[in-house]
Amino acid sequence: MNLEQALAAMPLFSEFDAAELAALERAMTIGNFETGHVFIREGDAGRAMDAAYVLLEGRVKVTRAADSKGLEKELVPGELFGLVALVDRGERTASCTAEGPVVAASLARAAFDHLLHSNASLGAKFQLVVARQLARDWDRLNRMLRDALGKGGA
Amino acid sequence: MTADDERAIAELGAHMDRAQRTALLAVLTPREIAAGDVIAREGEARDALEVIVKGNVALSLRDADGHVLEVATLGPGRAFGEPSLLEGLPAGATATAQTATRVLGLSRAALDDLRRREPRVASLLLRALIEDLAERVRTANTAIERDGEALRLASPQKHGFLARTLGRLFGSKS
Repeated sequence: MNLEQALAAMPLFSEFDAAELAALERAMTIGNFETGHVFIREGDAGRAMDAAYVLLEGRVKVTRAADSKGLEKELVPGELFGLVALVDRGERTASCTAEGPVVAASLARAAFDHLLHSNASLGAKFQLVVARQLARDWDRLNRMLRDALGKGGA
Repeated sequence: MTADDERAIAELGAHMDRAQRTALLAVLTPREIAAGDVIAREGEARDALEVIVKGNVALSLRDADGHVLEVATLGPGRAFGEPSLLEGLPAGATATAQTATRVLGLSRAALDDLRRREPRVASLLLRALIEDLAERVRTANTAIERDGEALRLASPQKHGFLARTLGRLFGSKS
C-alpha cells in the first residue's frame, strides 16, 4: 500500500497538498500487523518509543481492563488513535488491539511533538487533524455514555 | 471588547501573548442572552464554540425515557461546542442561560478566516483546544476505568455514574 495515496484519500487529511503528504509519509512508518497485535497497552506510561497511529486497513478494538461492557469501541480505517497520551504525556487509558489483519502507520512521539508545535503550514494542518480526531473521540464517548443511560430504564 | 471578554479567553488563549489574544477576540462574536433562554439545542446542527464571559450556562441532555438530565453548569471562562466547531457535530447538549449571560461565539468560518490571516494565532488556539479535549476525554476514560463496574449496578447508581462521567466530558470540574 502506498501511504501517501492512502492518506490523501482520508477526509481528515483533505487539506494537505502533495508536498505536505510526502513530508508526513517520511515521518511515519507503515506496517502490517496480525490478529491480536497490541498497538497500545492500557496502563503503560508515556515512553520515548510511544507513537500515535493512523488506521489504514482492518479493525482495531479499544478495550479497558475494568468491566465496562457496552463502552468498548471499534476504530475504522481513516482514524487516528493513541492521541491523548501523546498530548498530555500521561499513561495509556485503554488498550488498542488488532481484530484481524491490520495495516497501520505509526508516527513516533518526537515527530508528533514536532508537528504539534510547528508554526509551518504542515504543522498548522496537522494540529487541525488532531483537534478533529479528538472531537470525534469526544463525540463517541458522549454517545456511548448516553446509550448506556438509555438501557435498563431509570 | 471588554476587560471581561479578555479574561474569558484566558484558557483558549493560554499559549498566546497579549497581541495574539487581541487578534483572537477580533474574530469572536459577542452575544447577550436573557436568563432562561436556550443558546444551543441538543442535536441541532451547529458549527460554533461559545465561550462564557458572564453568567452561568446549564448543559442538559434528554435520556431515552425523555427525562432531562443536567450534566454540567459552566461559568465565566469556560467553553462548549468544541466538537461542533471542529467537526461540525450536532450540539451534544442543550445549553440554557441560568442568568443574564454574555458569550463570545467562534464559528467555523471565523476559525478558517483566522487560519488564513493569523495562522500563528489559529495554531495556538488549536493547541489549547487539543489540550482541553484531551483532558476531558482522559478524565471520562479514567472514570470509566475506575468506576465502570457501576454499569452493572441497579439503576440509581448506574444513572449517577453516567451523569457524572458525562459531566466530566462536558468540562464540569465538580
